[in-house]
Amino acid sequence: MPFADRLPSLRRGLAAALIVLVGGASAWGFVPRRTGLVVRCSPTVLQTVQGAAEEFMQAHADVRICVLPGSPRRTRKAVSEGTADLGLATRSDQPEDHALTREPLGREALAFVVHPSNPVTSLDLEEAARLFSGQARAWDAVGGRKAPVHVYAGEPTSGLYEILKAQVLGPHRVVTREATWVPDAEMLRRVAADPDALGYLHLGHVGPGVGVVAVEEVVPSVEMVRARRYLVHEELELLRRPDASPLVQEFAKHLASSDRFLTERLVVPLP
Amino acid sequence: MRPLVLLALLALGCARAPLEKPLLVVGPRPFQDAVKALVQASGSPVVDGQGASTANILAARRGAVDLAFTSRDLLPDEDTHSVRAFLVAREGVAFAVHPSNPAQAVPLDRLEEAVSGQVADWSELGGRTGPIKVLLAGPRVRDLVPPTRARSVSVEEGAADPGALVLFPSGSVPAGARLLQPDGVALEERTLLSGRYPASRSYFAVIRADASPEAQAFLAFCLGPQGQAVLAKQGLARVD
Repeated sequence: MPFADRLPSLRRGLAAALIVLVGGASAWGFVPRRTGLVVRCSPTVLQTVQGAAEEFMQAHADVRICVLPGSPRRTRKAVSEGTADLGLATRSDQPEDHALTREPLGREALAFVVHPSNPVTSLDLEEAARLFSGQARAWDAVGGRKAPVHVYAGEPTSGLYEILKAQVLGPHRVVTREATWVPDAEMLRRVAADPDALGYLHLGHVGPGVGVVAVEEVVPSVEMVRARRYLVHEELELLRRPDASPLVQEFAKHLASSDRFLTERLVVPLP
Repeated sequence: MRPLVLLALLALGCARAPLEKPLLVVGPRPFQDAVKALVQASGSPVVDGQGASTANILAARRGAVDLAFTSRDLLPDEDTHSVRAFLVAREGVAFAVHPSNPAQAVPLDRLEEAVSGQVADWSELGGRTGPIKVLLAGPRVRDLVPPTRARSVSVEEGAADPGALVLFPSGSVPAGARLLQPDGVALEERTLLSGRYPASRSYFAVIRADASPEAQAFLAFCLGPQGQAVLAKQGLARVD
């Protein structure tokens, strides 16, 4: 091959060498090196992670931490591909996760909520699945009054939706098309205002104005989740790449040791 | 001798020959000046263009451009395995008021209503009764807020008006300005980076997973200390 024809590939080689110097070429593909951190996490724990990031930045003036919301799937993808340094997502057994370093932070639990006037106080998992999927459309199908079920579903990008899908609906059912999709922050208010509502909240976000439904006759509580007697929960994991920088590891440690998740009841500690 | 000649030719070729195909980089309007500054500082042969974020993302996904900057995060169905979106900078909108104005923490949606003209009196935002005069000051601010008939003014003029609600990009807030706290959150570097400050946006660089080494090198420049310093000079919050 004439030398002149080889110049473009030589230049590409030099550019690649530059990338190795300023970024990183590894089994992960191209991952630019940053001194700051980008964290992706489920919207349900976003505010808590933001607070922890600000706390960390206050203690380390030369560190910048940016927090972005993301569904569990997106969080896992971001950490795998290097667009985020650290992720918080509900546990999954996707093949790409196996290459990540995963550290359980605790359990996130989902609570079904209804209007306080609703006489239905307990559902089994199959009944809940039938109501959320639209296979049962009236409350009397589960022992309630003769009234339509108004299903409220939270943000599909949140970890809660993933828990609902994995623990309740299963692989073959989806939330009914007739559901009203509301931001997680509005769920409490919307259910409290609708006598026929069925919605779900993070256990830590349950507040006055709604009735909490027992599942398989177990009322959700920190104790019942911890004892695994309440069934609708999933582990929340810290995700990072095995080649994570010391700063990533330090912030991960800060998050894992923070009592913010516990005091805000967002995470139930593992036994 | 032959290896030496080859090395000399290689050095000559690297020093003089331009890349056969310059990179094509696009960015949304609020990020245009930043793109131009990055291109200039990188010294790379880059052709820059303008486009809305949605179109830019599509162009990057299809390989029509080498790198696309966007002023929003990817939507779930845009975040496919063929592309990667790297956070490159953040920016907020500051809401400044006259020092005599007693308003302090105001819900962001009420501030947005004031900007659009739906809320017209300070008493509705926790201030004294009187008309709200929305003014824009600083570069690019009109691109950062919803369409508004608000007048653009100098920093000095905005600061002197007791009835004014002056919107600044976060990097252009004059020292000593009294700022409202949207949703009760003060504008600080920490709250902007954490994303807790609600009137903010993030800028991303989107490239294909199989981007060329040249495109990857340009991205690495944007995320590295030199590129981040360029963005900081543009008034953006660096994220490195």
